[in-house]
Amino acid sequence: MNEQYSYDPLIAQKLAELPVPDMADAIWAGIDAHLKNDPPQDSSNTPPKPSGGLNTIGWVITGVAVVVVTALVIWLNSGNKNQKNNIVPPQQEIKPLQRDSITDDSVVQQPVMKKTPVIPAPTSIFPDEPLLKPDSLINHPAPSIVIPALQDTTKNFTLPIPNQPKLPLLTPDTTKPKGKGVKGLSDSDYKLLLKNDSGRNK
Amino acid sequence: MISREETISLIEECRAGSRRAQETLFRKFYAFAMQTAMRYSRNENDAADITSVAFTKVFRSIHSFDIDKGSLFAWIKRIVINEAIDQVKAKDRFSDYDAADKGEIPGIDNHAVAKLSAEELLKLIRMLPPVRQTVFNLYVVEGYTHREIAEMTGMKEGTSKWHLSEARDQLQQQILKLLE
Repeated sequence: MNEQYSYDPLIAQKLAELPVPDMADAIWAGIDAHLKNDPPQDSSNTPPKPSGGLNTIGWVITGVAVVVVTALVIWLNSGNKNQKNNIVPPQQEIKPLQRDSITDDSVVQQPVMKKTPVIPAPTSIFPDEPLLKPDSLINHPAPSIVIPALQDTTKNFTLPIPNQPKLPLLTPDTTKPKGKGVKGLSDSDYKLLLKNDSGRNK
Repeated sequence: MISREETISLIEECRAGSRRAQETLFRKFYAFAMQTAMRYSRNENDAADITSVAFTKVFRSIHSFDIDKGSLFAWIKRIVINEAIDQVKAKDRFSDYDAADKGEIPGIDNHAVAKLSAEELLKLIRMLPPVRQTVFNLYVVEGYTHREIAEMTGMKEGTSKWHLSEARDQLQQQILKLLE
């Protein structure tokens, strides 16, 4: 329970008698503008009454969804056309739900077919039988395909560069002693020689 | 005073999007909503902003109102108060203070309060810092507990008590100064 001072109810009573400025029209104009710009959202649990059609936001969402679905269909079709003859479709085991009450096949849950890149199967292995059942592989001899062992190609790897002139290797000359000072200058250059300059006044 | 049947009818029309019904509902509840907003604001323009935003929220969420669970008056009032708190939060933080208990708070003479007009009293309350003004209104006028105030504002219960004691102390001094 609140600890109330004796003057609290008096303050509350006085504030309840506060005169209100006549700003209803101006405030309503603001409310009206806000409601027009952003119509109320139905957040209740009760089902909304049918409005007779989609509002603007609904049309935008529908349009975006149509565009996305159309793009997806086009992309899938273009992908399927390129790989139609060479693709071995992935074999997935579909397990239906084990429920006694379910008899409708449409309720069986289908796994989501993920779009993964499929390496086209080589056609030379079974030229006459493009599609084989797994059991039939037992009767076929193993194809004599030699798969080279994996080699570490990073070692001793040289990139062949055709028609490249061989550049001379620049190595330091260790036979001669390392010279002092700046290269290109000899010891005689360091000697100071006084030159007669008769034209110069001392 | 609006009857229950009239309220239900008005709510249904507002839910259907009737602007006329929305305006009717606004004008019926404008006075008390504006009065509430004035107690939490520094001036009439700020109070008008609080009222405008609050009623916009009322109409946007009127579908969620259930008349069997409470009165429309209390629901609108709560929205106005929440909007007032949000506006205070936007300008000032409801920070927590680890302040020691001040002990006995000097009381304000009832006769002194009775001498004040509603406008003068509002002026004195508006001289309080915004957070203290909010806590004073929530506790003294609305009747919330310190725990409820702490939940609404995000401050600790002890901080709410401290703000209230500071508000009473400040009001006491201001009332005495005004009546000298």
